[in-house]
Amino acid sequence: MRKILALLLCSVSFLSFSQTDSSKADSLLIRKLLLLKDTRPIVGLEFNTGVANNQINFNSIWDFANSSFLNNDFKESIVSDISGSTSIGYWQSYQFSWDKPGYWVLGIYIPGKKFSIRNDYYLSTNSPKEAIELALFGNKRFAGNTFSLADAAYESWWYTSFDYEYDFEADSIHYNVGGALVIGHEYEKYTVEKADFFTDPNGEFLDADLNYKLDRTDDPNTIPLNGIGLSGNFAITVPSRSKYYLHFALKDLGFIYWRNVQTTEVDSSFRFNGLTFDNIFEITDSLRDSETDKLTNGLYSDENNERLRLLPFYVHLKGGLKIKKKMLKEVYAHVDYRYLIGYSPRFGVGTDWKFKENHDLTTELNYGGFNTLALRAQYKIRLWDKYQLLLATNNILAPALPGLSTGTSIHLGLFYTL
Amino acid sequence: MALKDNKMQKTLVCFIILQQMITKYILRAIYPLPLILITLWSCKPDTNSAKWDVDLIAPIINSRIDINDLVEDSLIAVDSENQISLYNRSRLANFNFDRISEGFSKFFENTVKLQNINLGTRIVENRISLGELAASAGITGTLIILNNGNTTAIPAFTGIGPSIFPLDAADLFQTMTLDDGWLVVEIHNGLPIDITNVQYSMQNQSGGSPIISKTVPLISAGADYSDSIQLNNGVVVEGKLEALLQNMDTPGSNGNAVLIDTSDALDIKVTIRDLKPFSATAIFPDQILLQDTSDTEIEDFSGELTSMHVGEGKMVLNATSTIEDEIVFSYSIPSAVKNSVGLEFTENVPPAPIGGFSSHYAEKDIVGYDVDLTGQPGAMNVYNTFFTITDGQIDSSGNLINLSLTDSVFLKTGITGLIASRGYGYLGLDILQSTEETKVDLFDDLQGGIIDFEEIIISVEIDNYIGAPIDARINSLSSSKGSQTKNLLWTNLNQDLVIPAATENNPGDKPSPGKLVLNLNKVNSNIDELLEIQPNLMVTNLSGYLNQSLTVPDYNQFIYLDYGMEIFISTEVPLHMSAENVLFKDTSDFNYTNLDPSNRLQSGDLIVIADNYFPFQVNMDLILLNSDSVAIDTLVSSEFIKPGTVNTDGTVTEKIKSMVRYELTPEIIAHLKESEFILFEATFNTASLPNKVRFYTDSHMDITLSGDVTLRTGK
Repeated sequence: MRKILALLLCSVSFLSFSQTDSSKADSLLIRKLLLLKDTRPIVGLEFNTGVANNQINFNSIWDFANSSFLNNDFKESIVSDISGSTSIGYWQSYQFSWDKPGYWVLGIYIPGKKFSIRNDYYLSTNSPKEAIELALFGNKRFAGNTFSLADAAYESWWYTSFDYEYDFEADSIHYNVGGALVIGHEYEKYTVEKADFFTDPNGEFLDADLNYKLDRTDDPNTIPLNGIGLSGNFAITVPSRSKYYLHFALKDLGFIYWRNVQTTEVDSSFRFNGLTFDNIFEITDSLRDSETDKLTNGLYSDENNERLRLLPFYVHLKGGLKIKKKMLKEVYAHVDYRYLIGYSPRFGVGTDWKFKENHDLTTELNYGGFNTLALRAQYKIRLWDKYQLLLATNNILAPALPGLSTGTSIHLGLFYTL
Repeated sequence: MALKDNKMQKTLVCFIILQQMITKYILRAIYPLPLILITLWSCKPDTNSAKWDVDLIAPIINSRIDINDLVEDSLIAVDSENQISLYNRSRLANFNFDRISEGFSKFFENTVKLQNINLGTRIVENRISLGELAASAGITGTLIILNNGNTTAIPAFTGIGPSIFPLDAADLFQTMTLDDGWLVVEIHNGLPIDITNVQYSMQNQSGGSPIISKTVPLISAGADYSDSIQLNNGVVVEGKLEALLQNMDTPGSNGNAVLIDTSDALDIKVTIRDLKPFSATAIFPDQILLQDTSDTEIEDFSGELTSMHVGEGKMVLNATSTIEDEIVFSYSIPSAVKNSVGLEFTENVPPAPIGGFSSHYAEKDIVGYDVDLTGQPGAMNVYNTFFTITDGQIDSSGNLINLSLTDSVFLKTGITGLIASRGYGYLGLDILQSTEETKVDLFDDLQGGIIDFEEIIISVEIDNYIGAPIDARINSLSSSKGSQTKNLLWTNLNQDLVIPAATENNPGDKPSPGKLVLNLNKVNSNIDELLEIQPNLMVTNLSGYLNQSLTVPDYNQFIYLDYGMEIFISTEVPLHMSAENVLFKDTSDFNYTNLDPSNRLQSGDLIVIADNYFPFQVNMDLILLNSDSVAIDTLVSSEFIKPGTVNTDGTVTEKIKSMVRYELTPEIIAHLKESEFILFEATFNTASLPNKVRFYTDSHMDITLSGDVTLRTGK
């Protein structure tokens, strides 16, 4: 019996030792495998800017942007493009990123993480045709008639965000979550419920019936710091490694608490007969300033307030089919929306292509957003192993058919694998 | 929105920065977060758009011009029918008789010497006892001393002396050199025996000749002796004297027993008095140096003032002294009173240093004093005169000082800059001849044209603020504008017009004037013609005669420095008139940059829209002037502001709207930018010429200045 017990003890000890050796070997193997599969961090700098609208052709936009002076014919051509109202959007974004992508090893997804600094500027407006006419031609062409700027709206955002994202896999579902600290620089939002104007043909008076709200940060600094906020990102892909998949993303969902916001709310009707002076023979600078202030104060307030504003978040839903052909790798359909004035939901279908090892092409036909119909194209090329160049536009039709399309963008990126 | 060149440049810069970073493997080592942040922030989008022109039409300013904007409120009078008259009261002339307006100064100078130095009376006393005498009388003297207290006969003895006795007055004076004085020696024989053949002398201890040397044959027991000597011819007396008893004899008691008391004595008293020193070193008593009372007459005044009130002036004292003691001067005008206190001031002149002199200057403001000008008390028929009293004395300091007849004090006292703010009494006769020019600004902004007033009422008012009657004579009155002159034709020209005397309510308050009011109108004069030339100058020639009509002097008259005679002209012009081509000019500063700081204006029209309820039309030109006030361009219009509709009575019944456009060509805009002044030239014509129109309180013009302009957007 004692022998049996001694044998058992020896056996257990041996087994224990032999198992330990096996675990060490496995761990070393896993490490080697992880090192082999491990992704290297990528730093990148991206620039994206564009302008789009739903009525004015790209030719006009291009000329508008590059002409030093707009003549009447040109202005008339712009106005002639517009019926009803038009939405115009302009954006500009710079981003610096440090990205360590996640990866699969032995069927396990090693999560990725990403840190980025983004500087975003958005300007969007919904303008009645009369507003465009007024801006381009002045009020004289309306003299003797009433015109309305109702439902005009405008907003602009300028902020910098410090983003952190983490992606992981669970139950065949891929998740990406993140958060950002947002520093607000400038914010403007004008909404016009009602703005009816009548100008006397001789300019003797000007009638106005107004109902509008203005919010505008007021800070003359070069780098104004007028707000702070938080935002979150969330994305999900189900199933993650299937031929068919569904992807949903919600970005920049958050807020900025703005300070130094000059707010104005006007709801009044009045007749403007010019600045009124009791004695026309004694108009001094101070009297003129006083009368001007009266007028300005009636239309605009310099009252400072705080505002909590929802960021122009972005929501994206995409369904894709992965294809294992030589070049065509995926086809998909999607819909997205950016929470900005004049931005309508955008629908599209697209394809992903891969040419050779280092060339990726994405094409998308979209309808909506600030534009109407647009053909998006994105091209990525890997250079010298560690560099990757990104070239994209949200509407390649614009330069190709400038008389028809209504805006485009340019998106440039340069990435370096550390 | 526009993709501007600078944005592309910024983008390029971003990539260049990135390329450099990557090239240098900076990213691998550290992540230059600050640099990236700056890069991001520096990329704020520039959304400025291209330039284009917009056509704007809008009102710029509006105002209502009423009669108050055209004429100063103070000039407007309204009648019961709300018709407006121009009323103006302006001073044509302000005259002052130079009765009391000229300053008056009077000074008195005194040089005071020590001719009357008072040294007082100096007394030195001493006594010589019987014991002292006996001690110098040998055996006999010894016997006398031995019998002290006994009654015994004293034998005769002779040859007492010589003995020297000090007479010390050094605490009263040290030395004096006398022009005159007396030294008195008094001896009282308190001995029980007679003394005979008394030989004594007195001299300065320092030596020299005896001041006095005498032999007295007899001084009986109990008797007194006195003698004196005149001290003159520069005799020097010192404070330390000595008396020498050269010899003294006695017949004794003539055998009679007498009580011998060695304390019995000869009492000697030396008195120096009635001194007239040439110089002295002494403790001086108080010395009166100066006592003077003088009349001061206000000269060159033809009237006879009984009093005056001082408006300006000072009393001054300036003294220079060689006297080594303090001198006190007081200077007073007893007849000058303020708050029931007479005018006086006292000043101390400090002691002069030995061999030197001291000075003292003082002045006293005498403003507000009422001064009686009828001379010293009891004087009769004295006017324009006040009197002053000057006193000077040395106050004894108790110190030993040196005085000499050569010492002196130079004293200058007086009144300077005396101006009476008002005077009372008979003002005398005076004549005033004056020509006064008065600027008229009522028509400053009007030039040329013809104005015809329906009615003009003018009154000339002469106010006399002098408490004496004035005979005034307006010799001429004319108005002029440039070379055009109109002389007044009026029945009262060159006539003596008596203006009664003013009345004084409270001394010092502005008197109530005597008034003379003369009315001029289109019937008795051509005064309307003087105004219708829109004068800028009126010239008045006036003569005034003070007290011309008085046969006897009136001493109840008064005159104030600040109030003389004033002439006012009051004009009332009902605005029932016609105006033809009357030009109104006014220049305003102009700065184009204030109006259009970004130079946006390209061209257009300025539109003047007027709803006119005035009975006149206006043609207006705007002349642009450069910094040298040289015209460089003119904004003109063929249109004009039309007058309101006028009925047959000349009253506006309906307002008329007019619109006047002034074209702003690029050339004119360029000139506007160079302009620093704008000259407004408005030509007025009343409606329905030559009929006259009326102006009422509700006459007005609503005016709007609007712009029909092309502006360029962008920076």
